[in-house]
Amino acid sequence: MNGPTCDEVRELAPELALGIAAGEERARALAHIATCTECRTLVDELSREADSLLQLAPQKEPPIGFEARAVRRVGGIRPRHRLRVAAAVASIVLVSVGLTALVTESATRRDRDLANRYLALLEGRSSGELFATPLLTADGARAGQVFAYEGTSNWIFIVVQARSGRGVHDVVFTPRTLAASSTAGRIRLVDGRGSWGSTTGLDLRGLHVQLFDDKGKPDFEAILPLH
Amino acid sequence: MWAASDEALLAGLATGDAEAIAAFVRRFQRRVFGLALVIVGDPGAAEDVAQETFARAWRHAQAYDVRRGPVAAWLLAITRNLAIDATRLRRAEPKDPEEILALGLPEQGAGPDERAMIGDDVARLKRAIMELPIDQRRALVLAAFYGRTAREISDSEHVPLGTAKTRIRAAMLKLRSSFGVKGERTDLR
Repeated sequence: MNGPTCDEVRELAPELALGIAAGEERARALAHIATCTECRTLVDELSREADSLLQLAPQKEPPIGFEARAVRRVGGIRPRHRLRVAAAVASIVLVSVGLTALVTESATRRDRDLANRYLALLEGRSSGELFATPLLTADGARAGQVFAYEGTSNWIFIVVQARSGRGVHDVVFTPRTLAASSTAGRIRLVDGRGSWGSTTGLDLRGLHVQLFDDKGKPDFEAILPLH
Repeated sequence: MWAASDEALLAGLATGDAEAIAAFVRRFQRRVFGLALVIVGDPGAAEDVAQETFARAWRHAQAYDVRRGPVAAWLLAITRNLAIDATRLRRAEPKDPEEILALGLPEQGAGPDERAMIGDDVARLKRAIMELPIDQRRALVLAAFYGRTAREISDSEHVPLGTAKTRIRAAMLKLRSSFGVKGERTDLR
């Protein structure tokens, strides 16, 4: 089946921008704008217009105590003081040491077995969830693992075990729901080997992880699972 | 009096510092809660939506891109999406579109700093909307605030689907022209 024309997409652009286009029609239009700069620009402009409409909603004083509850809610999903930060860092170091050792000997083990061992390692530390997903080269070859932990403090740990690769690579995260990317840190590879970990405030589900070399070329990537 | 920019407050929010979180919440809470209340219609549910909006903003603060629009618009888009999800769960009916626009300009009741930051754009936008034919205005509000599809608007307004689509499109086109066309090549035809 042929994709929609630019005229058809422009016809639908207001509904796309308002987020109310549905089903097959929406999917086909989005596939078109992924490759058509002019239509994408139009939808982006209309999306900004649609978002600006929301500022017309009447302002309303929230209930008493709202601010304090909001601060607690945001503060409650991350470490709030040095002791908790230190605890999180210590936890990462401990888990990282364990993960690195496990990964080193895991070449012949099945992923499920490995994941069970990681979960056992984490048992008692928190009630969050652990993800493990392969790190791939640009041509799809396996080149290590990305581990992500979703709990009171989210963290990501990357283990690179590639055939080759050297020098400093930027670790870049792109959340599933946002187009913007951010550089989270740097990883130094020696003979294709290296590891890196950090806490993060980003939503881990569907997070796109990429490692860029010093010339900006994406050498390795992984997409964390949605579920 | 000096006041931090919205972008600076968002950067502070990303640090997770309690004072920075409080400053960010204080800046936007009236707008976020007001929009949530308009959409969900219940103060308790609106507070849930508003609280989750700030938690989401914190989680995604590092990924905010100024090129995609001002902080307030980004934050209110998060609020809208959460509120629409909440209304679907609660099967709440939308408020009459005219009621939203009749509730007054958003800067009513705001402090002087907030009024200054909201600026004239919102007032101009409201004037442009009020100049739309009432049918187009209703369709636009139902779509923009409540996420109603053209099919749903067709049902609730008792008009054919094509008419609902035309109203939405015409309203967006007129608003766009009110704020100046940014490039001939991306014009709606």
